[in-house]
Amino acid sequence: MTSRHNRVALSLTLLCALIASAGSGLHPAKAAMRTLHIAWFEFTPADILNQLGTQYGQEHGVQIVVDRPPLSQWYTSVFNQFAAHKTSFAAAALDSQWIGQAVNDHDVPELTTWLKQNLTVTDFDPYLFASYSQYPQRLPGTTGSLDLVHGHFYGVPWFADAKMWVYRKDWFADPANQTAFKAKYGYALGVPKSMDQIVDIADFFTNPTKGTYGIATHEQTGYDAAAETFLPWCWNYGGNIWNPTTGAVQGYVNSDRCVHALQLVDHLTQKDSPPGSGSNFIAEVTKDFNQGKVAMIESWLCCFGGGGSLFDPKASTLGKTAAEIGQKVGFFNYPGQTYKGVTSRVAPLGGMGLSLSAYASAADQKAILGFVKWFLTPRIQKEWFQGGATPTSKSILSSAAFKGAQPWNSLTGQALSMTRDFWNMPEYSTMLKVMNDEINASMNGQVDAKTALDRIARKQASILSGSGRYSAYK
Amino acid sequence: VPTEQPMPDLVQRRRPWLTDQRMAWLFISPSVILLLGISIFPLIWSVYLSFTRYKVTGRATPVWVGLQNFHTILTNNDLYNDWPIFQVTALIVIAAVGLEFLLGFGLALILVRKFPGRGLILTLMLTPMMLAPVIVGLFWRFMLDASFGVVNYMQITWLHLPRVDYVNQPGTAIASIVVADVWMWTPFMLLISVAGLSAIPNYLTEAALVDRASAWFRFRHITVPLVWPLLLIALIFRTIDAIKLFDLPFTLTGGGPGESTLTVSYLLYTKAFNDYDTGSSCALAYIILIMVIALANIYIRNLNKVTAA
Repeated sequence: MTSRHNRVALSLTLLCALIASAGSGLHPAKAAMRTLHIAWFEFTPADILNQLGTQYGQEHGVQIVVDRPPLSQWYTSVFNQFAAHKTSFAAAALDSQWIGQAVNDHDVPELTTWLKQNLTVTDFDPYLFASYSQYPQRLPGTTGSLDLVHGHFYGVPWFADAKMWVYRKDWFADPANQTAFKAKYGYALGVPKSMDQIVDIADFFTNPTKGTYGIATHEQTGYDAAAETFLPWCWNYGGNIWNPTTGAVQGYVNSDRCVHALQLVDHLTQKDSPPGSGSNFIAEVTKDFNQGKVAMIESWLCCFGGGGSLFDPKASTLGKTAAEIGQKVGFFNYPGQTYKGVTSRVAPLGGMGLSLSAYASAADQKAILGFVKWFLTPRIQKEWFQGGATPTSKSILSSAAFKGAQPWNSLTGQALSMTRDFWNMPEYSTMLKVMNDEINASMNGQVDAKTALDRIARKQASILSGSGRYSAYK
Repeated sequence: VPTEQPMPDLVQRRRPWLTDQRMAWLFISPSVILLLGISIFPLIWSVYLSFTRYKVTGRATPVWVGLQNFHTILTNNDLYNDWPIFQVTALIVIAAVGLEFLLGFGLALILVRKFPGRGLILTLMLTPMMLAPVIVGLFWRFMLDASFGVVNYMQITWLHLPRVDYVNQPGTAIASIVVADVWMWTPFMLLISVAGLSAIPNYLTEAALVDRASAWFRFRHITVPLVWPLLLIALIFRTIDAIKLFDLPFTLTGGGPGESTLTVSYLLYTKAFNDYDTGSSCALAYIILIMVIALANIYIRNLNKVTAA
């Protein structure tokens, strides 16, 4: 055989081997597996959902993959695709405030009929259901709550969330601290009974020479960090950020109550927070707590569990095991406040609904709704909350199994029952950016509270009047 | 007498319609179509959008508003007080490019001389400009962190200075961006300067030495005039780049505290991808473009004068 023949034979052999290996690599079941994407962001509940999506694929042959960009890129990653009228995802978990923009721009299809036909709609917490699904949320003649008869629904209540407080149980229980605090403030050191007491406790534990501070909270300009720190203080001191009936902002967000609330926030962030706290968001405040620097943190309960969070011994200096850390970590809800004759007790609402992409094919939309039905079965919801996520079903939230699943779950139901959300209209993102930047400037001492809130009022009034949407809220 | 006959074509054309000129057009047509599709058309379309009220996320068609978008940006308005943002950008550009020029040229004067290890030092000094700006921003954010940053550690431990929250105070936040930009782009100035200095013919310096010219005289009348055209080109690149600065404020300060480190490019990003105010963002983009062209023209005129001289 000539060398030319040898080369031809060798080439044919290699080609056959290549074809054979490629063929054997194609597992019939895997090749046939359909994959659909859900847009969310990088955090523990999205990781759990991704695992459930794999499980769904094994059970039903449709793999659900959860796209998880960083939190700061979540909004643009979803709405840039909506703007292109073509999405890589078949469904997206939309933050409660986004629903107005998504509905107004026809990015999400209406699900009212499907929801009523396929789910027990009365089992969802009514406020969460309205916040995550209904638009417009304030229908003519109603008071802004859930309206199952006339309301239009665009999302499945998916994941509940609210802000909560975490505190150092061991520091609070220390007899020396107890005595010193009582002597200084005239009442016993314990879980605060008012927002004013939170300020006292934060002041008490702040000792820069020892490297300990009273509080760490979200202050960053990114996403809704600074704004969502100001809002519960504003609401708990009896203020409001606007009048949803008239759309008026002037005289609301810059009212005396809100100014007083922001002055307290500024005091906490400038006097009682660790150095560099101006860049804090969820990960940073968790880190401050885990490093034993602060007595209290204010954060979203969605981020208390999972790797790298409060009970992870690898991420915490508070103990070598989760149980040891648990001895030092306690939780409490916003205590509320009586201020100038008005008593309020409010927590800011987090959480999301799951909406379909209007640009996904009908077949993909149908497949995702199949996944939704499977996801909302009690068996899967149990896996969902045992992993650290929070369901939106009333019956699950009040069940003993849920309350015992995580150390903070016994308080979750109460937190969700006193939540309040901000604007859900299409201009939300511009309104939020304005509030976030100005509150951050105030928190960092660049401007005083009154100036920051006056600027917010002026800018937000300009946004609302420019949008021509005032009439829709009258 | 033989009569003159016209010469027959030596090669018969297979496709007579395919002339040389047509073939040339055929070859360049893919590039032209690509250029029209992805560059020229979007450019013209964005000029049109800059005169309209339009949101890319909405279903509504653009509404012609004339110069309103430009007027809103260039005058004070309730939503964005854009003038301080232009001022902050100008401050960052002047400080960063000025320092980069001085440091880069100064280091080049040292590194142009031959000494052992020069190549290694030059290579190491060029490393920062090879990094992604986002990485540089995050890197400096950690370095400048008030709680655990190495800069605060050194100034407290070694210099006994108070702790400074660099990225969360307006003055120091701007300075932080300038420092990070200088750290990253001084090597670019250094590289161009070294190239320019290396190209100066030795005989000029030697002749000056024979004439007993002072070091300052040689620098002023030989080095600077010969390197200046190259430095001007480097300055044009850096100025244009600094006006477009986005990555460093985005990762280092987030535009904060408040809006104190919001640059024009960051504002453009906010208008385009947070507010989805497409009409207004196109108008701002053209304002930035006009600024850049105007500045580049000043440099180029200067460059032409120098080269003509």
